[in-house]
Amino acid sequence: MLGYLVRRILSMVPTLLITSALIFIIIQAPPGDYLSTYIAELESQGEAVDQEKIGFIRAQYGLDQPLYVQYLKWIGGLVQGDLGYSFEYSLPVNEVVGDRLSLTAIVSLATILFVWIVSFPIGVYSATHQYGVFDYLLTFIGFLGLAVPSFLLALVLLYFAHVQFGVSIGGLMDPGYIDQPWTWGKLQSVLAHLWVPVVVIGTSGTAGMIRRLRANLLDELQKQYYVTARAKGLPGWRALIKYPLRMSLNPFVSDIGSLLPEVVSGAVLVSVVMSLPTTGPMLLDALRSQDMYLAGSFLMFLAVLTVIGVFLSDILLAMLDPRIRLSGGATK
Amino acid sequence: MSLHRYQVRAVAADYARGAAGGVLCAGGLAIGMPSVIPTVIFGGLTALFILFTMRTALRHRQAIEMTGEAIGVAGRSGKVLGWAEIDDVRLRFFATRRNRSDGWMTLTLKAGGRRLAIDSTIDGFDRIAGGAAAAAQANRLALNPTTTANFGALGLSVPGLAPEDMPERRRERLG
Repeated sequence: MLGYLVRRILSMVPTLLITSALIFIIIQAPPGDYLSTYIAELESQGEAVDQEKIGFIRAQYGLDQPLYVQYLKWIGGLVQGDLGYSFEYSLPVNEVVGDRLSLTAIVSLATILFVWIVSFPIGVYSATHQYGVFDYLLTFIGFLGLAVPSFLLALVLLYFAHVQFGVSIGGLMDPGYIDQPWTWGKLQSVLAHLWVPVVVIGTSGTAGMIRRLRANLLDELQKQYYVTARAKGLPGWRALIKYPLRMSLNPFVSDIGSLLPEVVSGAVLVSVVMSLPTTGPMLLDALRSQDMYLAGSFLMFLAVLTVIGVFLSDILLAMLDPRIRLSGGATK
Repeated sequence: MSLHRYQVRAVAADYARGAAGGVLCAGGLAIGMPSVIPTVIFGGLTALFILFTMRTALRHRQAIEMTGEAIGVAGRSGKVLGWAEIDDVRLRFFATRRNRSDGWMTLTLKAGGRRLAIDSTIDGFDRIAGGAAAAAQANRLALNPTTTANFGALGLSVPGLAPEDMPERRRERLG
């Protein structure tokens, strides 16, 4: 396993380097930079632009240097935990993102837990009670979950809560705690508000996971080893838990790679609709205003999450199912 | 009796990996980390690569001795597992590609709490795996489906192996 770990960690290095270069190039692709956008904005408002001051700022933040120098400085800072400087907020990116990264992490982790906790028993039940009344009902609800976009579900919930109960379920904490340091009260407030975005963001993922788990488990339940185990008199639940369930866990594990960044980036619209203080809306603003270091840091955060997610899923898959694939094509 | 070793070509890539990872991570530490989190991450990775390089060096020096009665590390202080004592056999495949089309196997033998792990990059691995399969048969061990399928892929018969697990030809590339 040590050898496997080392190989996988080393393969992450070029992946992240190439991704960082691509992110930097894409952010720089639109003509001009943050200051050009800023000058155009000032001019459109009829305000005077002090070219000397602009030149000074451009030199101060290295915007007058060649692209590769800017990239090397940025990537060197990232490795050391320095995310750069946000032009829009006139603050280091570390300070700008502050709470948002931790709140995003809380929402993401809670969503992933929600997806697993809800989809696992439902998927197992649907597979073991195929074509039963509840299987049809859960399948129907699952399809609904897949079909309804998250932001629409958020809008419906907001409207319903406001009209029926007269309460606002937007935000991630009581207004009094916004921009305040973390306290026990703030954590309680976040936890009390957390369930709505978690349900909204997690619904489509849960529905998808139920479908995959059901299909995988149904495949395993028809295999010879399970039929033999049952024929030999092994009780249903023991036979199920011993091998088929373990094999059908593969989609759970292999989904970690895509789930982590998906939950963060996929929640952008929901965050805008529900006024969540997560990274999504800030990323949108940063991309619009060409605040390159802020946008770049967010995108690198997503890339790192993807790479770490794939790494974790590979390690867990290697532990769960270390079987060889023969030249015939099927995993043996 | 047969003697099996990890040849230079089998461990050269691991030495290179250990060195590359160690240099990258130690280099990161050397340039100075302003905060605790990157320091911990780079420090942990440096330790991991050092450990890996040390293990590679140990394996390079090691020789596995196999006789009709036992298998073990050659030398006076090496551990030896009698075939009749073996109570657990695991054969795992570690894929180096997402589609699992390439990789290596690790055979883990256990006997009374003692453990011996052998990678398929060692010369004569097929013979060692054959000995392990025979011991599993003789000792009537209950192997897990993964191990059974992997033995089947090597063309070896073990307890619990279904006919469909036996390939027509042995897998050619194992690391």
